[in-house]
Order: sequence, then C-alpha cells, then structure tokens
Amino acid sequence: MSTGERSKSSFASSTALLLLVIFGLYGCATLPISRMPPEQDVQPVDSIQTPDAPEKTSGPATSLYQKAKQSVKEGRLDQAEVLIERALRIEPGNGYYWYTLALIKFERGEYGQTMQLCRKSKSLAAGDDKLIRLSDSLMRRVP
Amino acid sequence: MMKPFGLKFIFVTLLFLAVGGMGGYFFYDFINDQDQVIREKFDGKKWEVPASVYARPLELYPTLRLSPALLEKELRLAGYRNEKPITAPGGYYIDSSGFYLITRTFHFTDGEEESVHILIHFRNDRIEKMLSLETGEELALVRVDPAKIGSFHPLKHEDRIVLQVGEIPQLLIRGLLQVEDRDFLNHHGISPSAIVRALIVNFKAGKTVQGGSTLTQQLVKNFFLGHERTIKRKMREAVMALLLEYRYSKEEILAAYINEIFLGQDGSRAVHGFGLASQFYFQKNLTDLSTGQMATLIGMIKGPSIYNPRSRKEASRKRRDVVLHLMFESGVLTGKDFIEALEQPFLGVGVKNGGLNRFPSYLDIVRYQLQETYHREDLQENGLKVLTNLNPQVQWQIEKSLSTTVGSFKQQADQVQLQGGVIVTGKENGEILGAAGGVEPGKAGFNRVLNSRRQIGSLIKPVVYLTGLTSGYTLASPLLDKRITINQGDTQWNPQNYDKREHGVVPYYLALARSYNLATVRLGMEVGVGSVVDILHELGYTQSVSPYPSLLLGAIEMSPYQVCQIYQTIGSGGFYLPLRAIQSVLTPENRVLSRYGLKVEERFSPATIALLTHALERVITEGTGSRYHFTPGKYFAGKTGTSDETRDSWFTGFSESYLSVVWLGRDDNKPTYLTGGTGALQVWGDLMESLEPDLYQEKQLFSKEIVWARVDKEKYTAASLENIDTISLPFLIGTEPQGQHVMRGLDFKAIGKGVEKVMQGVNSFFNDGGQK
Repeated sequence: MSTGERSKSSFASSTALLLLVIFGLYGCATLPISRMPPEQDVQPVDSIQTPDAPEKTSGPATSLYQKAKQSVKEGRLDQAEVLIERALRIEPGNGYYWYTLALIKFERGEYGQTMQLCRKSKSLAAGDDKLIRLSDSLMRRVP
Repeated sequence: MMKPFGLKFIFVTLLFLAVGGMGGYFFYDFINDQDQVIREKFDGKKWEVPASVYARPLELYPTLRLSPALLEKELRLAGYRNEKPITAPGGYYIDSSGFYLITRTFHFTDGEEESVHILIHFRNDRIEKMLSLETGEELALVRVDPAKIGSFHPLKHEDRIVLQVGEIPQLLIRGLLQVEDRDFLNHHGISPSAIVRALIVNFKAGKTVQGGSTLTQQLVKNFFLGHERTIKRKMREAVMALLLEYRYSKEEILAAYINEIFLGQDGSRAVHGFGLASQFYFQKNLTDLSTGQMATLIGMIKGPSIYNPRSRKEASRKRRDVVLHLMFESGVLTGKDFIEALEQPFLGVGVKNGGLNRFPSYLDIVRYQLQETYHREDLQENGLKVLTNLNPQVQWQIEKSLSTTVGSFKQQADQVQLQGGVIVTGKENGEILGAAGGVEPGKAGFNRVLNSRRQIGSLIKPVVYLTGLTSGYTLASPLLDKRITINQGDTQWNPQNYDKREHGVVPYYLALARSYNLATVRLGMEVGVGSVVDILHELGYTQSVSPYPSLLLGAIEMSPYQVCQIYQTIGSGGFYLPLRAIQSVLTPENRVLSRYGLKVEERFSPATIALLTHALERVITEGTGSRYHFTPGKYFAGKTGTSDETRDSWFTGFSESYLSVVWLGRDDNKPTYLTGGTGALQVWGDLMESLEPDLYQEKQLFSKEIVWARVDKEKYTAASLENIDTISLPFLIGTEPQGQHVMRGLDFKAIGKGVEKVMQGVNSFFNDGGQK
C-alpha cells in the first residue's frame, strides 16, 4: 500500500467519522420528541402517585390520561383502568400509559401484573431514562 | 302488587262455573292451573331478552384521521338518522359549516357517557376541532355510542327493549288506550260493552272491522296462547284475562303489553314492544318520537305487516291519520297538536340499518370467547350487554381487501373455489378488531378464521429463527443452505428449497427473509426440534406438538386465529397477550359482570424480539414479501407461508399499530397455485396499506441493549469503514462483529441508509478518482 493510498484512506475514514457524528446527533434529534417527557426529577414513590409531569402535554389521549390519573387519586381504580386502556387504544406505543396501568395494578395489589407492565413500559421507553427509572423504582417497591 | 286471594275471586270462579256449566271440581282445578301459569310468567322473568353485542365506540378527537364520509358510515351503522334539523339524540347532518351531531347517552364499562350536541370541523380528512353546541367550548374527546352489531338468540328469535312504566311517554299510553281499549282503566279484564259495541259495528259493516278484545285479553293471547280461534281458547283467554287483572295492577299489565306486543319482522327476528319498534323503524328512543310517529306505531298493532311504514307506506300513513283522529276526538290531542301532527310529512322512517348481525365472523369469535364464562342460556335470556373490540372501519377494510383481491384471482381460471380467512388485531394490546371467516364475510357459515386448520408452511420459520436467536445466533451468523438428509424412523426426509437450488453460506437474517428451507432445517436440527417446540409454546400455541423435523418447515396445522396468537407475542415485542374480542359484559342494569382487561406477560426479551422483527422487515424489503409493492418508507414486518403443492397461501405480519393474518386456500384442500407471496400477501398488503395511511417514515428501533453495526455483505463479518459493500444490522450488545466502529444505543437504521449512501459516495469518489 502506497503512502498516498493510506492517506486517502485515513482521510476517508475521518470524513466518514465526522459525518457519522453529525448524523448521529441528527439521529438523536429525531427521536420521537412527542414521547419525550419535560425535564423534571423523578419523585420518590413513597405515597403512590402517577407521574405528575413526565408525560407529553398534548396528544390525542392526554385528556383520558389526565382523567385516569384523577381517578387513581380518588381511589376509583376500576374506572382508572378503563380510562388508561382507552388511552392506550389511541396511543398504544406510549410507555407512560403502560406505566400508569402498572401503577393501578400496584394499587390493587396485583403485583405480578405490576412487574409485567413495568417491563412493557420499559420496552417502549427507547432512550427515555426517566420512564425507565420510574418503572424500575416501582418494580423495586413490589413486595 | 298482588291482591289477596279474596271473595271477588271466588265470585268470578262461581260465575264461570255457572256460565260454563262444567263440573265444579274440574273447573276449579282448571282455574288454579291457569293462575299458576300466569303467576309463574308474571312474577318471574317475563321475557327472554337476547344479549346485545356492540362494536367498540368511536372516539373522536382533534387530529384523528377520519373523513366525513367514513364518520357518516359509522353513524349509519349505529342507526343514526340524517336529518336537518336534528330532532333528537341519534341524528346528524352535514352542511358547508361542518358536521353536526347529537350523540346518544350510553352506559359504558366506566360509566355513562352523556349525549352531546357537537359541531365537527374537518380538514384534509382529519378532525380539526370539535365544538360543543351546548356550551360553545372546544372538546378534546367525544365518545360516540357504539353500533349494535348483533344479538344471541335461540332459534325462535324474539327481540325487544324492555321499558319500565316510567319510561313510557304518557301520550303513547293515552293514544294506545284510545285506539285499542277505551275502558281499560275500568274493566276487569273483559269488557262486555266493548264486545257488544264490536258486534254492532261489525254487523253494520258486514265484516270484522273492530275487535272486542281488551288490552288484557290481547296480552294474554300474546303471552300464553296461540292464535287459533276456538271456543275453548277464547274461554281460556277470558279466564286468564280476569285472573291477570285480579292479581296485577293496571300499570303492570300495561307495561307488559307495551313490551310484548308484536310490531313486525326484521328478517328472522321478531320485533316486540314499542321500545324496539321505535328504534327499528325510526332509530329513536320512544321518548323522542314525534306525535305522528307514535300514532304510526299504535296503528301497526292492528296489522304489523299491513301497516308497515316501510313496505306499505300509504296504508300506514292512512292508518296513522285514523289514529290521530281518534286521539283528537277523545281529547288526547289538542286541535293544534292534531293539525300539526297531520301536517307532518310521513317521513322519518329510517332505512333499515345494516348493523345487526352484519358481521357474523366476528360474532362467532365473540361467542367462542364468551362460552368460556357464560352458558348459552345466559346469553339468550338475560338481556346482557356485550361490549366488543370490533372496529367497523377495520372490518370494512378487511372485507374490501379480501373481496377485491380474491375477486381478481377468481377471474383467472380454476379459482372459483378460492376461500379465505382474515383476522386483524391491535399490535400492542391483542384486541381483535375485525375478522372475515370467508370470502363473503357478510354471510354466516363456516368460519375459517376459527375453525379451518391448515398447514402453516413457512410461517413456522420465525419460530425456528427465534429459537436460534435465544441460543446465541445473531442476524449475521452464517448458515449453510445445502442439501441435508434426515432420518425419521424408517424413512428419510430430503427437504428442498422452493426454487430447488442450494444457496451455500447465507447470513441468518437473509435465510429467513428469503425463506430458505435447507438453511432453516439445518438451523432447527442444530438448536433441536424440541427447543423449537418449546419456543412455539412460549409464543402462545397451546396444543401439544410432536417434535418431528418436518415441523421445521411448517408441517403443523393451525387456524388463522392460532397463528395470530403466536405472532401477537412477536408483534407486541415479546409480551404474550390473549387475543380479546370482548371488552366487558354488563347486566341490563349496567352492572359490570366481567371485564376482559389488558394483561401482559413477558415471554421473550424485547431486544431479542426486536432482532427477529428486523429480519421480518427484511422479508418485505428484500425477501419473499417483496412481491407486493409497498409504499417506500413504510414499515411492515411479516412472513409468507406456502404449504405443499400450494394448498395454502399465508401471510402474517404487523405494522406500527396492526397485526394481521391472511389465509387463502380451498375447502377441498386442492392446490390454489398461489404462494404466500402471490396470494395472501396481495390481500395483506392492500389491507395494511389502507389501514396505515400515515405510517411513520422510519420506525425508531432504539434500545440500550441493541447496537447497530455495519457488516460486510459478502463475508458478514465486521466491515472496515471504507468497505462499500456493507449492510447495517442490529445486534444485542456484545454480540456484534468485533473490530469495527459501532454506535452504541443509537438507531443506526434511521441514519443507516444516509450513512451508507455517504460512505458509498465518499468511497466511490476516491475509488473513481484514485483507481480508475
């Protein structure tokens, strides 16, 4: 291999690397933004609560999600469950809704489903660390 | 409200003894028997009301993709009336200012959804916004009451909507009494004066124009007796009428009458009672009927088929006017109301709506799932409300795609007997959204989705490859596609590829994408047929399977429903969910009896399933699934299946939101000359493209456990950066080919193509410039 070829090759490599970095960043930027939560620290789940902030604020199923959370607060778990299932019918890939269903199951003492639904929510979390932390923290609370 | 068994009763008995002139002892027995019959019926459950089955409710919200025409179609299915202005809930109209709609109140699993009056604005076949016309507010979500799609009934099929006394409009009661039984409130079950009056009227007219039967007698006739005209039956009717009046209040008798009276026929279904008749003829609740419409129904009692407002419009209108006259003469209607009612055009009789039992294949599945919990009697008698997941829009699309494609095949020779089965579910939640058990889905009959078990051929392959992925193979692992002989007991098995060729060393993903038999058999023998059987069960197949090597090429018979259950676990990312047609079952009083909620169970690591899914995407882009021209950039994953001699043509797979299985074949199991790719895929492609008009341009496959790597396209080892003949594949972290640049945790796929292009550009620039 001649020196000229080597330098061409390494130039090609570094150009490609640069492009990879650029495209890599581009890749980050095109993550499903709509599913990314606003920044806020994860609350310690002492008293059981639904995630107050980590959901997108607009979306077709948001109103159902809000109602579901309200129902959980009022202890109307049957209703909360039906509401979140309706939300999931509209946005089946939203991990926060699956997490909320996990919370409802936790409240009912259905720990097997709590664990399973947390796993489901994590599987949809993509790079959303917050959702992963929320799910992990709920899984740790299962006796 | 029973009256004590008293003197009056004995008097009545004695009276009949005298009149009848029979032996006292026998007559007393006879009366006691009749009394028993009446009490059993009246104190017990008066009617056997079949369970009603409802579609899923349509949820309306801004951004929803829905054309006004499709909304109208859904509303018509739910028995909505097109009328301007809208007179009552259950009506709509469209004009230049938007889509006006008043929904009906409906009790769902999570409570009552009140009727709302709304205006919907559409833009480019999407809902842009919804306004409440009651408050002027913008609405985020409206749930429309669902279409009733069927009922479960015994052979003799009566249907009714049972109303309580308080739910019956006074105007209807007063009109009814005026026409049918003026003395109702005063007589004791039979009315001698009415009989005399009828005799005179009939004598004058020279024919029977008026009956002397009281309302109570009519009820007895409907409830307990047939329509034969004998003295014995007439006497039994009189005795029972007296007994009924004796034991029960006028209110109870009237309510029973209003719920019982026969008011027409809807195919094999007998329409009983004013509640159902009001829905059936006018698509309205009884309380929402106009005066003229009430009069029309009252007029029908005399002869439901003669005065049918649909088929005998003129006769029915004349009869309505007679009823209105009677109501006016007796003071039930004021002069003003009377004139107004007369001037109402004889309109508003809705087109018979097509929702009921229109989707027999889906109802079969509902029945199949209900029978695990409910007895047949529960479903035929107790008036249960069954809320299902049927999505009419999906169902219509299934029917359209199936009939169009099969129709085009049938134009070719020898395909007249081609049959099919299709089922569609929600990919993430396992809800069954629609199904067609044959190529004429509106026709009840043999349901191929549930009951036709056929060889699945290559549909088994993802199971084999998943077994491999769970035991250490990667998508780039080399497989040998070369002849192999397997001893099965005394016989030898020599599998072949579809093209009868061998392909040498092929990468894992490509062997699946191109459905190579030899590579698959070798892989299956390597991981063990027993392991494949285990994985098949983990995926959701519940029946026992003999671990013969021929299983590796799909020598196993399954129904489309069973196939769907297995692929559901792949589609939902490794989570097993039972397929569900039913959301919940409610009592007539809206108490929830059963709910079939979401339950998931992780059976496979989502990351492993993501790898398999990627290979199934490659089926579409570069494998046996490329025989359908999908819109470039849309994301689909699936697998073809063809059984021996093209007896069965399969395709199953999923998109972002839906999962679907399509089977084509003949009931006599003769060859179809269609492969999975030339047959079932054509239905599947048309169906999924239509269901997913707005598929994401690129799906994000992004997981912390997955890394994307470029591998050499020839050797399937790590590719150097300047290598242009490469392909990007996902790997579980740590399993990627070593010695190259990988991007951890980033979705190479979304950017992979761009990078590949750039790399090609960069390399070809230098190659072209430097070497040529």
